[in-house]
Amino acid sequence: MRSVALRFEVAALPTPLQSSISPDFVRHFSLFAAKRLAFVPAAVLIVITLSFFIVNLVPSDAAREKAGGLASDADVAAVKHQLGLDQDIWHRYADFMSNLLTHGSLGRSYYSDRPVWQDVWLFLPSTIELIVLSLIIATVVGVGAGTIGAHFKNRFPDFVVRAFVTITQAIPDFFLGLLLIFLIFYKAGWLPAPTGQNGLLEFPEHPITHAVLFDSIVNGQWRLARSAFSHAVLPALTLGIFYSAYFAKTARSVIGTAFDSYQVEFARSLGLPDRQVLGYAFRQARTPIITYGSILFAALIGGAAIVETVFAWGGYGQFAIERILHLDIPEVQGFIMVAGLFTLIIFLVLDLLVIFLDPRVSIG
Amino acid sequence: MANDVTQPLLEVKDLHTRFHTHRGIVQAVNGISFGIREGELVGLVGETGCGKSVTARSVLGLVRPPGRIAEGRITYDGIDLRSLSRREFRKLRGTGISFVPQNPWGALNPILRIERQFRNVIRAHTDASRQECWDMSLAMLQKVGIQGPERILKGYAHQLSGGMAQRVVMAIALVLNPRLVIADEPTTGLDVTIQRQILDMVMQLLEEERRAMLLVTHDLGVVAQYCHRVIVMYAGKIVEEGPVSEVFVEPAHPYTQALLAAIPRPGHKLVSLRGRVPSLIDYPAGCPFHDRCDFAFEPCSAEEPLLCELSTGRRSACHLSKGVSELDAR
Ligand SMILES: Nc1ncnc2c1ncn2[C@@H]1O[C@H](COP(=O)(O)OP(=O)(O)OP(=O)(O)O)[C@@H](O)[C@H]1O
Ligand SMILES: [Mg+2]
Repeated sequence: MRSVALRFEVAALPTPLQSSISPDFVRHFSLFAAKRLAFVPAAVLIVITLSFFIVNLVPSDAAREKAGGLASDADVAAVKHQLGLDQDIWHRYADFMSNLLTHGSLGRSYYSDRPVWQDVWLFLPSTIELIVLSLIIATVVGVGAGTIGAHFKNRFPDFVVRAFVTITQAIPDFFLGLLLIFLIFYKAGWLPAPTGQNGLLEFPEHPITHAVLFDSIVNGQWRLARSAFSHAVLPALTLGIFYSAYFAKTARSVIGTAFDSYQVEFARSLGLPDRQVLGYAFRQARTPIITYGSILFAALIGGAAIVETVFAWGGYGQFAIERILHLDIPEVQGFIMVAGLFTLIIFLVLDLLVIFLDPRVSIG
Repeated sequence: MANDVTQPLLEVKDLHTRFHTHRGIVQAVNGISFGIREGELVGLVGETGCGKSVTARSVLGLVRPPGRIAEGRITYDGIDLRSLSRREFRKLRGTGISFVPQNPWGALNPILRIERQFRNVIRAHTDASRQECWDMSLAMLQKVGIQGPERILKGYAHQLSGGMAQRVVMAIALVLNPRLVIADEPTTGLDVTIQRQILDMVMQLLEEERRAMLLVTHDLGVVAQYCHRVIVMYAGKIVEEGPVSEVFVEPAHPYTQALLAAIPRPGHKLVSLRGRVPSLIDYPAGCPFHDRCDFAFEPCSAEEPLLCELSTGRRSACHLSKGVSELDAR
């Protein structure tokens, strides 16, 4: 009698699981997001402070660099005074922070006198465009190769994957870039010369972000878009192949572990088709792969600099290298800060994404 | 033919499964033979690392590199499993032979509703409609004693308690009515009362429907209570096999005796086994158990004892097999 009553009761319970985004989920998720966001201001302050001290504590003589090789000591002293470099570091830090907090200003370039922010908006989008394209290639090639490696563990295809990883990791990225230019542009002539994001005689109109491929698509300039795409292939391929090696390594190990999991074993033991079994394995491997991709994304803001230079891409990394060589302190400070903030944002999004994908949170 | 009464449902002959590791070749299963008849519940016991899980995986065709079935013949219902193509073997899993793993939460997919996990299995082998899948799943959950199965079907794995998850896993494994179920320590880790409840229910179900089971376990009590026959493995080999009623009352092999003596029982002195399991890489000469055996004498370290039939369905691999009971009195 009791068990019948119980059965009725359980079956009659409402099922809050009809939609996968329940109010419970919203509550859990907001709570987590709030906690996570609470750390952001402190982290931002640390990033800003660090970017100031990293640049200003490194011994360098920016005033002499700016004054030029022939300048007299008095000239240099004058420049030093003009740039405020004759003040002690705490004073300069206070100036820097108050400028940033009151005017949102990062100062002006010692050379062009342009506001640092203006250069950020001018160069950063091109770099992000290149990183996105590279990461797509790196993920597809890397995860594909890693899956093959894991599936054929210690058999011939796995050796091929491992050889690919070892060789690619041993070649510096700029050298890989030069190799691709030599083979694909110079020898085969399949793709245009490394003249940046577009041909020398093309002049993008109505720039929005200054990332040419993106802008031309948004503006519907299809001829330019095609040219921009073909100019993007080699640099994206260079970075994509180079970083796919790291992806392949990570993917091979996490997917290998997933293949050995109870979940995949159970799926196999029930005769599920290989495609579905692979899907089960991928789901388990996705968190480390997403994490890895995010770390790379953040690291490539500066990490793409050399390849940008090789291809005259005109992105933020390439710009920063030039500025560093000229000891253009405000611009370098700005670069380090932007790269740091960018990393912060990516990791924030990553954390939220990972928690979002966790079924225990997202489902109830 | 295939359904000949005298022919076992599953027959394993001289099975060798090896793992090629950088330390050497691990002889995880080293020439075992046994059979399971229709409707028979067989326990497989032995110390950790003796090859029970590898045996189970070999039968299911799930040994993965670096492991490999090196030799032997496995027949299910007259079909030579090692000659099947990948696809044919896949079709047999879940429908003919199915598997209940140890860790139910680990085995269930956390992002798919339970209903969907049933459906994936059913659809992998039949073209049942959504509604038919639902009905089959519901009926199966009821059979394994789940109340309010609709709610379970609509939910996810992490919403289940351990015992519930194990019932769900069993229901998924049984949903296409396989004639042989291989369970690898299905209730390890659950609390004892729940273990018993689940086993009572499943074993009764299997018995009623005349399905066979190979139950891998550490728990000799479980074997004594639920199984018809028991197989005792040691270091990749079968050392004793026979009906539960005989083996547990009068074990022929010193290793089985030691295992039974290691079960705490009122009125008995608790004996624990000395020494360690031999390496499966450098397999020792002679009987693998000789250096732990209280009854070892000269031939034991020199010559390996073969598995001999003591009486019908009763086998033991010991040089002393026939005289053990007398020596036991010492
Ligand atoms: N993937 C593998 N690589 C190398 N050796 C393995 C592998 N899987 C199993 N083995 C070896 O095979 C032997 C038998 O393992 P198995 O898992 O069958 O033991 P078991 O009897 O199920 O033990 P337990 O009771 O702990 O589950 C062990 O000695 C183990 O080291
Ligand atoms: Mg095991």
